[in-house]
Amino acid sequence: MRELTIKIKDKKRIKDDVFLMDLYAPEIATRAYPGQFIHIKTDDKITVLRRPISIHAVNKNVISILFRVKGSGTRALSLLSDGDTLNVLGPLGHGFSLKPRKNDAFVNILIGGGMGVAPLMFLAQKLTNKESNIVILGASDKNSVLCEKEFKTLNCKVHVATDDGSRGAKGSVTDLLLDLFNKDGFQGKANIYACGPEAMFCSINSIIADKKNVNCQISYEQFMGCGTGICCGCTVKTKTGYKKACKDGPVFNIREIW
Amino acid sequence: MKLDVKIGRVKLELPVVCASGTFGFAEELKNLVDFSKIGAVITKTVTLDMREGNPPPRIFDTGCGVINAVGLENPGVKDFIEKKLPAMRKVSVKYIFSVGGFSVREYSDVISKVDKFKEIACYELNLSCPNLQLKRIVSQDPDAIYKLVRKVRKETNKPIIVKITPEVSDITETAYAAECAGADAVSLVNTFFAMAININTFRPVLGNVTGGYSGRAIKPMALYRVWKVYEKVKIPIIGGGGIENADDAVEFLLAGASIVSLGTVNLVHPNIANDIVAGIKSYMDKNNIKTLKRLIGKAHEK
Ligand SMILES: Cc1cc2nc3c(=O)[nH]c(=O)nc-3n(C[C@H](O)[C@H](O)[C@H](O)COP(=O)(O)OP(=O)(O)OC[C@H]3O[C@@H](n4cnc5c(N)ncnc54)[C@H](O)[C@@H]3O)c2cc1C
Ligand SMILES: Cc1cc2nc3c(=O)[nH]c(=O)nc-3n(C[C@H](O)[C@H](O)[C@H](O)COP(=O)(O)O)c2cc1C
Repeated sequence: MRELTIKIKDKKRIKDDVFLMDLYAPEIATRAYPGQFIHIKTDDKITVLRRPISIHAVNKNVISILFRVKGSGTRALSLLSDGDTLNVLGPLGHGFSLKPRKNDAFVNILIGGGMGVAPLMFLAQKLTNKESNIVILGASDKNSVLCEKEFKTLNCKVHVATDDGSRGAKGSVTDLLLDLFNKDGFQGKANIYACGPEAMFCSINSIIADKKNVNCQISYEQFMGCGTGICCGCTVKTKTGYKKACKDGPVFNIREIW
Repeated sequence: MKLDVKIGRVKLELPVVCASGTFGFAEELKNLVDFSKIGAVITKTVTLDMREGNPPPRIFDTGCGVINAVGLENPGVKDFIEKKLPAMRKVSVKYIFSVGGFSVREYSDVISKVDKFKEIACYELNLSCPNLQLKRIVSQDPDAIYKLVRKVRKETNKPIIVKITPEVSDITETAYAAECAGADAVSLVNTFFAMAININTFRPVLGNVTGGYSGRAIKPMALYRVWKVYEKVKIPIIGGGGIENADDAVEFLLAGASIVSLGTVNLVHPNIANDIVAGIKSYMDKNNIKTLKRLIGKAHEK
């Protein structure tokens, strides 16, 4: 791996504060797998450290990122234009382990709370048996639902929950998850892949606590320094001690943490 | 052009080193970094027993600097010898071993366990650990520095670098205490005390509440301290704090550092030492400065 300078092919604003960016990066595209991230340094004097952003999708030599403007780093990123370059390290991190099950009894459930959808598209691209993949998207209202159409294009079954009920079910993604288990049950067998806020992980964990055959991998965020495991900055507390979000994660088994 | 420089008897081929805690044990970066352009790597500080470090979050970007509260997470000297050292042997670079401790005894103990390994060229004593007896950090107290360095001096024939905190009213006193006690070089600066508060949650950002400030923002303060110490001590200074490019590095050399250290910038650009070495060379060329010696402390010439 080395520091790469990659070119922005296409930048789109898809919501007020959410951007989708295509980057020409063959070296990353050929090696990345879902759940990994790139560590971006924008060329400015308003950030010191890099900012981690998940690989949202991969199409041949192009990787896409989907990001929300939160502070100075993501704002600087959003101000760049097609043809500008980015300095990145990547692909980094331990991503999702895909569980191809011969036994179709296992269903894949992808849960994205808010910006948490970011790493899940690449995952949906890679999972086989797309028809049986369930995607649950959560957002505050109908205008903030992300990627619904794109997941449908990949033949996933998409469920949406919004806080105000303006699209899909009123409530949270975990209400929907509970519903699914109650209605369908999947014979208690499922692979859950989730990304979102901490509170969402907490509720998922309590829903699946007694379900032995439900496996759940989560992409867990932490303030990050170097991204390569050197600085010990992005520590995550697990049941077996501190781990590094950048190297041991960002994807962890939910039962390692709760 | 030769840029070699000496710490005690040990020669570094280049006057650029990677600061403790910002380069791990070097081996982690072997696929990412060209080590031929690095004078030495100062290891992450190692203590007698392993330390799991502070609760998260541990690192925060203020926009012009970085506050960290890693809390000396390290494998402890036993695991260092068994797990890290064998991997470090596969990387061709000079190592300065950073030692930490919570009592004088601990520094000696750690050194006595690793002194036989020839991979370790020198020691850097990180005197910014809280001392359990003193109830403050050793490098704030000239007497404590003197006693500790005297004791450790007896344990080893390898060069000893004493790394001091900038958080004192007069850093020349603490640097001078290190020199008097037999240190071969002083290293400055370590981080400044700092914190940040999240105004949305009303809570401090860092798990440890307070941390140490490094990066771009501290450069002028660090430079000032190198300048002052140069006027007081004769031993070489490893100077750094906020260096991001060759111009910054040259400033430190002009202020009196014999060697410059790169810290926070390594977290962003792990290969930056290469550019900085090249930049120092071209600066010297351009200004017709033939030897490193002529550059060091040049800004003090009247
Ligand atoms: C592995 C990983 C993958 C990520 N992938 C994506 C992605 O695909 N799309 C996306 O939009 N975001 C993603 N993020 C989050 C993104 O990195 C942060 O939003 C970004 O670093 C904020 O930088 P900033 O300079 O814009 O904001 P800052 O000015 O640094 O911070 C703005 C606000 O965000 C909070 N914040 C900043 N960083 C974090 C963090 N890591 N965790 C929690 N709170 C934080 C701060 O408390 C502050 O209130 C990811 C994070 C990680 C660790
Ligand atoms: C994440 C991080 C970890 C650090 N860990 C150590 C350490 O273990 N021992 C030490 O002596 N200094 C440590 N430091 C301090 C640096 O070595 C350096 O002295 C300081 O950061 C100032 O230089 P800079 O501004 O170039 O980073 C650490 C700094 C950072 C940012």
